[in-house]
Amino acid sequence: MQSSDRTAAGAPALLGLFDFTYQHYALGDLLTCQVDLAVMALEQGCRGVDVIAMVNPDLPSARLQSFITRDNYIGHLDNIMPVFACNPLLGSVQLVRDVQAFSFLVDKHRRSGAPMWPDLKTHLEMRQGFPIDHRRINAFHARHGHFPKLATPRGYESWARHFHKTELGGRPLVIINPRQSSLTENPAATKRDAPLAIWHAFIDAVGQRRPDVLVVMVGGFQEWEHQLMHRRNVFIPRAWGLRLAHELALMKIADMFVGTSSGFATFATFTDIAYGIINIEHYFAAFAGVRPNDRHFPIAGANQVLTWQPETTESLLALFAELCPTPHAHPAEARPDALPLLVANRT
Amino acid sequence: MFRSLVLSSYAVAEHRLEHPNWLVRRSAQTAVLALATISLALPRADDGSVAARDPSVALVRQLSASAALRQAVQVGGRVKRKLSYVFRALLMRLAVAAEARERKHSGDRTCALRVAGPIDQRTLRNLLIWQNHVLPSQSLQDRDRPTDIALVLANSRESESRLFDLLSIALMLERLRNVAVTWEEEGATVGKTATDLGQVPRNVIDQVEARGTRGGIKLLSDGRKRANDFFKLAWPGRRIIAVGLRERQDGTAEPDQLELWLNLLERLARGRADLAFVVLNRLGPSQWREWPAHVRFARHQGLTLQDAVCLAQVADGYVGVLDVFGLAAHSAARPGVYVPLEHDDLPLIDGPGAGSTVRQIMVGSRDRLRIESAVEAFVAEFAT
Repeated sequence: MQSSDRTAAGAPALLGLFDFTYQHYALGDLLTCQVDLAVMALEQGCRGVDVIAMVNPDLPSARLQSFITRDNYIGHLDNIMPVFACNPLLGSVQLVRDVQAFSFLVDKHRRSGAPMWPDLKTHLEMRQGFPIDHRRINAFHARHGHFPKLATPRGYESWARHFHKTELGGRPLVIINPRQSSLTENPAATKRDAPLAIWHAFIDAVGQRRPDVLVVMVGGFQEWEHQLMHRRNVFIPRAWGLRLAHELALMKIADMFVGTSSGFATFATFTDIAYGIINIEHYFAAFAGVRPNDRHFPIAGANQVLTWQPETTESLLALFAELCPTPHAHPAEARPDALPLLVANRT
Repeated sequence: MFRSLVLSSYAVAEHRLEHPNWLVRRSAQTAVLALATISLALPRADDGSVAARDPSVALVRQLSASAALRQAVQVGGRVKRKLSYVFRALLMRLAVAAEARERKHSGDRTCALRVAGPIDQRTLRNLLIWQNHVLPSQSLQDRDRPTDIALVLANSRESESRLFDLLSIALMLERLRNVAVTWEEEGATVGKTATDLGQVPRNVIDQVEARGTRGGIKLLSDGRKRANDFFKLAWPGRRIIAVGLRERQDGTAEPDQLELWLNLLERLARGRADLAFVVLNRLGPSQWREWPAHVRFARHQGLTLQDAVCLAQVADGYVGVLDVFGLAAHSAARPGVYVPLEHDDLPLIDGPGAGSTVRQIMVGSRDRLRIESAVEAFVAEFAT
């Protein structure tokens, strides 16, 4: 079998290494890296990006994610894999679980003279700062007036359009992601969690003002309270057995995203979707190349808005009014009653 | 001669790599590193047994998993960081050399698998069948060696909405280690001998649909936990039968199959308060309605595809098709009724499965009456 190694066919491929021995299973950082890789590939004249995701089962996670162990790493890896399929210049993905084979692949690529990220020295030093900054992306945008945007997970775009039309009645989609780490098995930085009562009131108000809109709650199955399922204007992909790839595909065709500064907000940041990213931590401003309280990232459009304070129902509604397209922009067949209420089968 | 000396010295040092005494431990680590480095420079015999005893293989594996080395290279003092960096660079060289030797000795371990049609229930099942029945015939000399696969997708990028389900299954297969995914439209090609996952030989499929398969799929500890949590929360004390249905291309249950099986489950549950049924497939929103209390849908209650495969392995029984759920349940010696996913003309086999003592009925047909009769017979005797 010949891989998609394009070094022989002219321009080389950029190799992106994700070694989870020292890099994080973190949606936001991995997504930012995909855009970073695409920028690097364009700047260096590469024809695409080949990704290697390396997990050593005997040391499957970085120091800060010690809850990911030999016994449970497969589930974490399984969850995060769709991120790599969002790379707009993706050529191939290799999932490697063997140090020997990994070293061999890296060495082979290095000998070919083709570029890789991180460079070998950085990789050997196991150096990766977090959070990943936007410096390279901002600079590319400043030079060219655009940047490579994250793609729908490869192979999922037609599914999303078909599902939206046939199962969600073609309704306008507003994606939400109020962070709720405290409901997960490994709570972290719970002070960043969103106040759910405020979000529930927001959803109800949206239901009254725009009954055609369907609110789509993305994130882990644990990350919402059961009252969310009482609401007829809410769709929760994970409650339908769907996974991250489906969620990201639905985000790409949605009308708007509003959510806490977190992984899904990062996906919105690097796409065209209208968004409101809520309650960004001030320390992150430097990494994003903005000042605290700036209303937009340098790469953002006019309908892509940042907020730096904790949300209120009113502030969320104001963002919704500002950013969500008006009803006439949507197909006439949108049916507010198209989604059944999924409450009957709960234990 | 000198090489033998190096190997025997390595064996002595290796036993002390985790010695409780810091000085002994560090000395042993330094010694094995030095010996492995020396071994890099030595001429090699092409004898496989020598390659198997190569000290650098064990050393690379052990030190690559060292949290202490990671700590040293990331947050140690300046000198420690520099030394650790050199150590990591040397480890990488050793790993590359060991892999190159292995490839020279045994060839590339990568098997190319082409996926020409849409990725669906059959594709997921065929990956397991390929691992258990096709791969062994291709690698007679290396039955116990992990295999790497390269999935080459021939489809256009618009129609692979179960790609990550396929990867989920690949991650659970016992013999698979590294998995590459690439696309023909990106220039990837496969040799003529590559297996097409949609075209596994008919006789192999027949054999599996008639008799099931043995092993090959892991019971993940996380999935086992979540399946048991689900059982205890949903129906404490009941006997729980997992149900696997034929699926549409998008992974949701086929509507007519759903109706057929729900009617059957309804009949079975009458007068049997001890029984409950958990369906392993997803449903689309348009398929949702009020369900009877003895039927639940695990995938709608937070269990992933991998969790559901684990659930099939730990439930009290299984009824349904021989897809990846059915094969996992059959391999795990779950009593049950197993229905072919594709073929209709296989013999009915009723009795203990291979290597087990529990009753496993292989229906051998997709005929509704035969399925109903087998399931009713099975449930009538089940745990009474």
